[in-house]
Amino acid sequence: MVPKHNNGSRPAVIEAKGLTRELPLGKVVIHALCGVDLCIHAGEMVGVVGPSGSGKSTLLGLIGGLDSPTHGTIAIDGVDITHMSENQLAEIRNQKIGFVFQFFNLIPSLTAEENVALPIQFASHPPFKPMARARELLDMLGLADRRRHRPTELSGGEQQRVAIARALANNPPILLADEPSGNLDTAAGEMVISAFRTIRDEIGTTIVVVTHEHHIAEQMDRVLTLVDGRIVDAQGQPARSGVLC
Amino acid sequence: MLKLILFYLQHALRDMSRNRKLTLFALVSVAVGVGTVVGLRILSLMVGDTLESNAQAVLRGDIMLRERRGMDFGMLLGVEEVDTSGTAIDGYDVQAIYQLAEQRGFEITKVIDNKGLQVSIVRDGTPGVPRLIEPLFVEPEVFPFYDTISAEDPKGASLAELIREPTDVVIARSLADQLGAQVGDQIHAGPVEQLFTVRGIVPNNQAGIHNFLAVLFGFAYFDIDAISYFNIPDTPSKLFIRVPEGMSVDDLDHEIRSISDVASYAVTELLADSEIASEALGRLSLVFSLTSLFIGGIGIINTMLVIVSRRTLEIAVLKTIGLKGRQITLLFIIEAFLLGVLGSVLGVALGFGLVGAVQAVQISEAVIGKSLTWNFTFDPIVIGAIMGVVITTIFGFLPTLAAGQVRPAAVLRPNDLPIPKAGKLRTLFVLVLMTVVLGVMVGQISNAGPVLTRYGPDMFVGMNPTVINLIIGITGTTITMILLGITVGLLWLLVWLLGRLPSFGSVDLKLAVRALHGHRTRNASTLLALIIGIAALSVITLITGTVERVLQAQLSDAFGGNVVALSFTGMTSQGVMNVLNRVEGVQGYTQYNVNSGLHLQTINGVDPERLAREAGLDEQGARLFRGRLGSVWGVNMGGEPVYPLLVAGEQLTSAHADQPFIVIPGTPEVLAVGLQPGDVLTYSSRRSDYTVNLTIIGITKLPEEASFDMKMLGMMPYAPDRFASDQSSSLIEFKMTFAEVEDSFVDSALAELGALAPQPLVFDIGLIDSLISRILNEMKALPTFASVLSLAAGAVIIANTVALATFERRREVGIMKALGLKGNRVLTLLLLENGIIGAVSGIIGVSFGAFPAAWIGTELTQGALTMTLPIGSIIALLLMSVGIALGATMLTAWGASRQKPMTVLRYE
Repeated sequence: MVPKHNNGSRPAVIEAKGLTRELPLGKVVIHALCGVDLCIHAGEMVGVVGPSGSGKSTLLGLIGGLDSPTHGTIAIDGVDITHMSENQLAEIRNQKIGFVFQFFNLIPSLTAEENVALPIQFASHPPFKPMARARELLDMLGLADRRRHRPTELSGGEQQRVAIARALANNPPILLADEPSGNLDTAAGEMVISAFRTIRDEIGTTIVVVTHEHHIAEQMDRVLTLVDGRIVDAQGQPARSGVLC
Repeated sequence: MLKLILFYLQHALRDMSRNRKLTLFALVSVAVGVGTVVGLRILSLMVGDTLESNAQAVLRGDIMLRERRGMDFGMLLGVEEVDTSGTAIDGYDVQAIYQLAEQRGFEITKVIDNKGLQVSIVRDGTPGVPRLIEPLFVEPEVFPFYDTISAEDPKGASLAELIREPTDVVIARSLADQLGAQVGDQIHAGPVEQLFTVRGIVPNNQAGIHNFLAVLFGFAYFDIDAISYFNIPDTPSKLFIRVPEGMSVDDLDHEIRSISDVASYAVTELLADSEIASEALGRLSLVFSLTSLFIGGIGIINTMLVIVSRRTLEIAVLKTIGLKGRQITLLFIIEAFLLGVLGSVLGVALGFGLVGAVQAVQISEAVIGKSLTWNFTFDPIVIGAIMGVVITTIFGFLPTLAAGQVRPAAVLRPNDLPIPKAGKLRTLFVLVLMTVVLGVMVGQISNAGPVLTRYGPDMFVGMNPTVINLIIGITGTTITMILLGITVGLLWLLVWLLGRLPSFGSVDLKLAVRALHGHRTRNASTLLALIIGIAALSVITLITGTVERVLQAQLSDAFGGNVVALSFTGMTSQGVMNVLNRVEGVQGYTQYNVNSGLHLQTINGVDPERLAREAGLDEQGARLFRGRLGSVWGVNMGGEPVYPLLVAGEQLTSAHADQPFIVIPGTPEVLAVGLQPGDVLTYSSRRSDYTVNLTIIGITKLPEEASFDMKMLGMMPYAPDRFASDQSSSLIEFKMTFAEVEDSFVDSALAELGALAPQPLVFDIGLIDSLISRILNEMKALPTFASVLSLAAGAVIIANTVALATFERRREVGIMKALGLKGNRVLTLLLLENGIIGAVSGIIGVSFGAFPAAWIGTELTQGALTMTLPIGSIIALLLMSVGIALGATMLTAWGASRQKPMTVLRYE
């Protein structure tokens, strides 16, 4: 089991400096993130909160290599991914990062186990046997009897657990979740968060959860608050980078 | 009400502007369909106008009188004994017609044609390679009565200006190219020693109508006085008449027919024929146009479905603020209508562009021998625009009806929106409406009513033509819709089956086939669109390709040689052999005497038919038995004959040259009678007392796949030449020599053969091949053009469908990229998916052409299928189908595969 508050002894798996993302929206440029510095350690469970439009999802996208920053740098597991090509980023996403989305984003034409096996099948050097690994993860998340079902035949909670299993398929060190319980009822939402805790505790995966539900944020090791594209402290003042690490 | 409509219009325009990409897809679908309608309609009108407005020029007069068709070898050879009675108008008829001309005051000019003539260019006193042509002897000062035959070199000069002396000649461009002749060169023609001077070169389409040989082989205009050089009688094969103003062409035509026994063709008949041709062309273009529009309609349905499903939330929101279902439907119908209007405007422009392109590449000149002219009418524009708007609106109606059914509660679960559906009853209603509207349009455009009410079938006689049009249109459209429905259903099933294909452990293939399965209806309609286009093209390409191959096979490959010489005198045939023995590059030749003059008398001293009846054959069998052995061909044992296979005995060899042996064909009757080697066949001449006993040495197997000469030998009894000819009679010798000459030596061999005197008739089989190819290409030019247009429409729809599918699946692509899939692999997935569609469409579409082509090929060659099916064309069509699908995918999916996943996930 990974101890909860022992950052100093663990390496930083996510490190961002001066992260800025500007989004052109018609003739206007939106500053989604403005010079964010942050550092997240292995095995941490970090919540990112903030009002709508504060840049939470943008931050998650940049950390996950789904998007590139306008300025600043990001390092994942000690590797600077800022200037990586799209193909290199795809490798990083496949090997180092697992994504869980609010709307599950499962491939509708594939069964639960085929969805889970997909990232392994996409890998250049698959670390597991795809279907065996899919069955193992679905068993772990209590979906053994649902593995042959397609997404439309599963409840929201089940779909989200399939999505979590898929995110863990290649055993990535980082799991990024964007409002994972946002589209679920309370019980299903709790089950998802409980699954995250189990994963962190048993596998040691670093988990970053974007949420605006306080009871979920409270269950995180640490919470970062974003306002207008900046990380702020408890008083709502821009936080110093040192505080964040 | 007006305010509401204005609001709808404004809303629809804004939506179209906001969904620029989708709007563009829809507009392209409509524009291609309408463009095809307008383009083909204008072309068919142009062909009609051109034929009708130039009828007198096309006919070269008001009435053309001609003899029966036939080829006169007599002039070619300078042999007077050859019967030429079938090739000229009877002298009494000519006299009677000229007398009538004097009485009634109409003008008349004569033409002598239908005479094969061999010409060659003379350089430094030596004749070059001889070419077979059709000479046209005319009176240049008056011929033709209408328009002028104007030369391309010297440009614009008329026959009257160019042919001033009997030794002047004007030749066709194709002949000039074959001979390498230019204005001022001298040519040698047939047996005539007098040389002719080329004074001008005219385009290939200047031979006039009813001159197939001239079109095929090339032609040359000679002065009518030049016939004296050729020693042929001054009896015309055609007479052209110009009717003075005020005189009825039909009355005169009738009068001429009453006093003579000639075939006549009046300008009024030509006009009627032109009208029929123009109508037929119009109908053909209508079929292609409707096909294109229908394919365009599929594009509209697909686009509108995507528009509606992407805007389900917006529709739900509009409903929550009080808009009713039918108002939503109206809103989208207005959008579909606007798409139809804008698409039609683009389509009309595209149609005119297509016509411009056709004129630029001069397809028409190849097809009808004339540049197209068109008296501008609004007809094509109006028809195209109406069809475009109506079809867009009614095809867009089903998705818009579905839009009206979106439940306002959808607004509460914006990320869990079901695809709107119109419901079974409404769908049925829309289909019936579509059928009726399309039926009315088709009925009116086809306009079969006036004909059917007059000529039947009985049920239509006397009925109101408009009602007949409605019945025909609606019935035809209903049947078509039902057939299309069944086809789409079958294709749906096919896509379902494709979705069940094993992925053989390939995740890419698995995703591709699952994606196919996931959009079965749309993929079925995409298949349909591509299949229609490929099928149209393959029917034309493969069938003409097969005919071409069969003809080529029978002419060239199957001749057993690439140079053929026909000789009609012993001196010539000996000369031909001498040349072939002497010139370089001759790999072998076979010479047959095909006119031995010998006829079967007895077999082992018994009457052949009696023998057959004794063997149990019926009357017909007995006649066949005798007929197949009835005459004998002589083989020149000095050549290297290509022999058929034997079923019994042995083959003739040079050792048998002086022995009276015969090889007979193993026909079913011969086998039934049980003839064996050793039996004796007695042949005798009817012209002399020459009789020969020929002992059977071998029995051949009937050829199935064999070269032409092998076939001829396999079907004919043959014996050494010295026995198989009636040497004592004055029979005209007719010997055929097939020579295989290396390509680079063909011209020199032909030149040497052509220089023989008396001259043999020499064919370059390779040249005949290319002539036949040219004629076939010209014949298929217009239907190919029309089907290429359909295919182009199909390709645009494919691109549209792929684009929509990619557009719809941007989120899925984003997810897969988030999971680590690289851009190239995303593209590969989409290419694989659509490549399967392209391959399946290609296989089905090509089958439509390949099976009839195979059938035709089999019929023409009695089973030698592999020889006739144009495998290359089939592969090309398959590759084209896959290429279109892949090209469309690349065009539309490239961008999607390169997008950052965040961009897609953020905005989808």
